[in-house]
Amino acid sequence: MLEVRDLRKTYGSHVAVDGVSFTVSPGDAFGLLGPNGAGKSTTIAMVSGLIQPDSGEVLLQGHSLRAHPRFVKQRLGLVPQHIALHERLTAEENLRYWGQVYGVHGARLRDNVEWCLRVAGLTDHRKQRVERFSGGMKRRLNIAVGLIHRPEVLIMDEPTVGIDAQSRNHILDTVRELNRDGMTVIYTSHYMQEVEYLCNRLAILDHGRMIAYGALDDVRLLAGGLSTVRMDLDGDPAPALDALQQALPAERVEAGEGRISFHVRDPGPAVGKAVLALSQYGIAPLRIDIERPNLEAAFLQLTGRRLRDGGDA
Amino acid sequence: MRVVWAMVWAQLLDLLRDRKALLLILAMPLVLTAILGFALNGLFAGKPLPVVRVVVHDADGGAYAQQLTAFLKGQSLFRVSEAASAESARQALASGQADVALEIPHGASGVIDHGGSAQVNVEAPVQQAFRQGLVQQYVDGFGSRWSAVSTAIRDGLPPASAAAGEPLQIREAASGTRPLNAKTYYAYAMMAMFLLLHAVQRAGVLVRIRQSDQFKRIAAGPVSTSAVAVGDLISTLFVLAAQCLVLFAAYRWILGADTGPPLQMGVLTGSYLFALAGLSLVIGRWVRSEAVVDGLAGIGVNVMAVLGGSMYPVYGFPDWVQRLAQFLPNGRILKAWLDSAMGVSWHEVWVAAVYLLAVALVCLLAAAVRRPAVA
Ligand SMILES: Nc1ncnc2c1ncn2[C@@H]1O[C@H](COP(=O)(O)OP(=O)(O)O)[C@@H](O)[C@H]1O
Ligand SMILES: [Mg+2]
Repeated sequence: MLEVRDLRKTYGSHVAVDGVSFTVSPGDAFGLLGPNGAGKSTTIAMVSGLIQPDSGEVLLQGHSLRAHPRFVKQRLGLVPQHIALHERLTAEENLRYWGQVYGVHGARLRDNVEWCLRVAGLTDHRKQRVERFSGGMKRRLNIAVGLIHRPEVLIMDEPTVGIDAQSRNHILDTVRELNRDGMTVIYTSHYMQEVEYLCNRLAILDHGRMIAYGALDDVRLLAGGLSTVRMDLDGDPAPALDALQQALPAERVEAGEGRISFHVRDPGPAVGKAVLALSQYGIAPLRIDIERPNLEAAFLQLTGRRLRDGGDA
Repeated sequence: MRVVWAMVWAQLLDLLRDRKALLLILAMPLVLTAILGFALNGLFAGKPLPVVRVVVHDADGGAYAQQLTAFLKGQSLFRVSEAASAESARQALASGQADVALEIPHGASGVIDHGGSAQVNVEAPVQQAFRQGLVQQYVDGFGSRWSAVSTAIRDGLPPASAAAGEPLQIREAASGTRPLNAKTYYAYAMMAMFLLLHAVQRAGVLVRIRQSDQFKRIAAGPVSTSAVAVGDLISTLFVLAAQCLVLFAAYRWILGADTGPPLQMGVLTGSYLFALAGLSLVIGRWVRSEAVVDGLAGIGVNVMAVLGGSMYPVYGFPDWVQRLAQFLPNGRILKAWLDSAMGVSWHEVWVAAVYLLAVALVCLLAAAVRRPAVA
């Protein structure tokens, strides 16, 4: 079990991480979600021993990182955000090298190299130099190297930033596979979909503070369990607004040019009522989007801001 | 230790497969040497290099004394000045204006002309023992020739050169020493400079690695910072040694530079490489931005190269610059290499080697107090 207790880190007068605590149990896929600058990387850096926290503690199986750095570091596997490989070495040479750096030798090293190549899907490219790899292959090897010493906890800092959709999906699937096979994972991201897809537990960070923490479903409910319904219409909804409001008394209906939106707990019946009300005014929906309760909504609810300013997530 | 070798191996293999970097490390210095050779031709070639500054006080004034002074003046190895008194000669020595003082006592010519051996005092500060020895050899060599000639005259044989009224010339140097030629100076000057340049550039590589996520990966691993430092040090030593061997081979067999005894050269060169690797490590630890290292490589190395005598013969510099140059590792090694090529005593070699190793030690300590921070 990995226990993070009240980590704090300031840079000058700027508080980068302000009292972050969480627990990761074996087999967990734990997400650290937050916008850019929230303090995710700084938290990860303290957990993996790259930087010293100003205060707070990191414990793995009761051993503190400060007192037993070797014990803890040997059992953590960090996947840095950027490619951290020797470009002119082959995939196999890289794995062997990093294995030795992490104290793996002999037959165990051979076995682990094979396993890592398999996980990364690079067994056929083992003798190829990394510089000749595609971006996606490098990413995969980058992750595999983090696994070379068979860590108990795999720590990944935004591994999908700035890469194409295909590689991203491959990485997400790889991490999910690993987790299903029993690997404990800590995964940071500012994409709520990734965290929803991968993680069973998470913490949401904002301005260095933890604003939500717990099981995925519990955190989702922080949004009040409201779904968002958006409708594109074939006419101007203004005349129908009163009727809509009467049909959906609990919700505030927002109307725009040719579209309406509202938040409801139970979207099914509400959509039916809305369509009926509109039809009385000769307006028909062209398209209906229903957004189920999600982390984005939870973040919005908690901070009044969106997780990300637009984008492709 | 296994970790250290793994790191060295990975770095070297990476470099070995980097054709561009290899070219830069090995071929570039040779090309530049050739180009600079043309540019610096006027500075080094042909022109003799004044090596030892000798101040002569001639209390005798006889034929032998005059000819000895003229003989020394005629040697490209010496820059001779004359002092009016023994006192002012000693002063020149004390103030560092001269390396060696020559005192020709009153009556020396008479003694030698009558078959005796002349009492010419060659004085020098302790640290100039080598130059003192060099001058002594020339003086002794001249003395024995002179006695031979004067004996011949006494015995009625016509002294060829003396009869022609020309100063007696002894062309070959005394045994154990060779005069320095311009090619040799140039070769070692270039070698000192390029190794220094490469050491600083290597620091840039260290800075770049430290800023990369590769370093995060190492820092997250169970590796001590000192193991990382030793790995950096060893791989830098390897690369410098490879560069040094290539340069040395080229200078020795293509340029035709002289070389000292292999063991002396080895001790000196090894010490220099340690000093440079230390310098590289300390820059790599203390400097945060690659741009600053580039600046050091550009301006810093050039200034050091000039002061250290790699651009202009150091013997032409004012004394204080020459003294300063001896504090710079590149200035120190250049002089030591040249001394060794001329046939220096082991004592001088050790002094230079110990100084360079001390520089290396100071650098390592300075690097050790600075833990590499993860950006
Ligand atoms: N080395 C540093 N020096 C100064 N400020 C830093 C440093 N590292 C991070 N910060 C600041 O700390 C905050 C958190 O950064 P970071 O942990 O990188 O956020 P995230 O990974 O969530 O985007 C940011 O405001 C960032 O500017
Ligand atoms: Mg980050």
